Amino acid sequence: MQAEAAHPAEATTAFPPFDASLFPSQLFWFALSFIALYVIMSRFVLPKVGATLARRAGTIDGDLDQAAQKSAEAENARASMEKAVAKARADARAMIDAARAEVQAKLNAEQEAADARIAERIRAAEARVETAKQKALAEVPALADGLARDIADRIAPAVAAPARQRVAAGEA
Amino acid sequence: MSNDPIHQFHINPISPPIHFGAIDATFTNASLFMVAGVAVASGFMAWAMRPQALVPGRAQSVAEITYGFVHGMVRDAAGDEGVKRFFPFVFTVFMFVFAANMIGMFPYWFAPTGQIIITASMALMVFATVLIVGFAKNGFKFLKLFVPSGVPWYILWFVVIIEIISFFSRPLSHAIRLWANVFAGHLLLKVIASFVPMMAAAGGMLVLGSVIPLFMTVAIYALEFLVAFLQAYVFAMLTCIYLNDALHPGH
Repeated sequence: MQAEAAHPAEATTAFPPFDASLFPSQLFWFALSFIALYVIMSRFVLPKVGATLARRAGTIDGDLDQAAQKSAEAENARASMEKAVAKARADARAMIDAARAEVQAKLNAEQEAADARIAERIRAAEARVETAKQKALAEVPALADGLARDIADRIAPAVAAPARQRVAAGEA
Repeated sequence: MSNDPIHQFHINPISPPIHFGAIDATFTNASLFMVAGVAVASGFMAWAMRPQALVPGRAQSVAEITYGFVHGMVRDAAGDEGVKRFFPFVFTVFMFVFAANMIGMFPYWFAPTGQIIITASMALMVFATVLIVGFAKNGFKFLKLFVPSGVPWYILWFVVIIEIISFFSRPLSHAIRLWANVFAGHLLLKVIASFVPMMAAAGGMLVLGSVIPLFMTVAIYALEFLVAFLQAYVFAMLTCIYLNDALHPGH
């Protein structure tokens, strides 16, 4: 092999991987291509891939944040909506209660007023009845007297007249 | 084509001899396939990442998965500091080895990682990086790498010797593991495949029997694709583990 090292880069050696005469050219082109690959990768390709992956991670994180925010907003909206519904329901109940109480009060007042009026009328009517009764009762003796005189006059006028005069005298 | 299984590893100049001073820079088939591997790797990554879409297409997905694969490998082995310092380097190592291995899988093409000088260069590059970064970052505390804590003094000297030997044999095993896998795989494929025409030419029952090495060739070819990926992964993984020692020398 040492002898063949005198003929560089020729395919005459028995075992090329150990032929030192072939090394310089390989080393030169290895260094050139490896450095070229390193420069291309580290300067252009890897930053590009890294930036793309970072951008994707950022976008995903941002989207997730946004989704969480939206979800929280929806939850808030639901809570406030529920609150509003509860408040509206309470308001409605209060309004109904108030109206009912008002109507009840009006009804009661009118009932009382009507009762009072009726009682008043009853009293007035009773008073009239009483008056009429008294009047009627007051008229009864005279009426009976007259009636009795008429009866007596018709049945026995002869007796009646002197009796009447006696009575009148007796009474006098 | 020659039946010699070593033939595929021969290096032949394509260009007329080029010399920069004492440096032989003749463009050979090895140079061609290294440059082609780099061109394919960087070309694919650049083309795939052109849309930079939020929702990636198929090519962009492949590029991003490759990025994520190596990124995770570096982070798991060397932590976030390792990612900051060494990620582009490890990515380049992985892409270079993977592209070279895969390009070598095409019949009649050339596997640059089947040359030990290439794998040794990368292994020594990693070794030198570990030493330079290790001493630059930790000073003499880097030597704690060789002195594991919690070992009784009467066996510590022995452990230190073993640690030093293991540290300095790393580039060797690192280089030879990749090279031997690629080299042996290609050699085996060539040998088994060459049985097919040999048996077919022998005539008789051997003609029918020649389907056996044919199927074996197909099966080993599939295995070699796995090896091509796996050795790129192992090489990059070991690079991460060694570089981690430079950052965190205390065990």
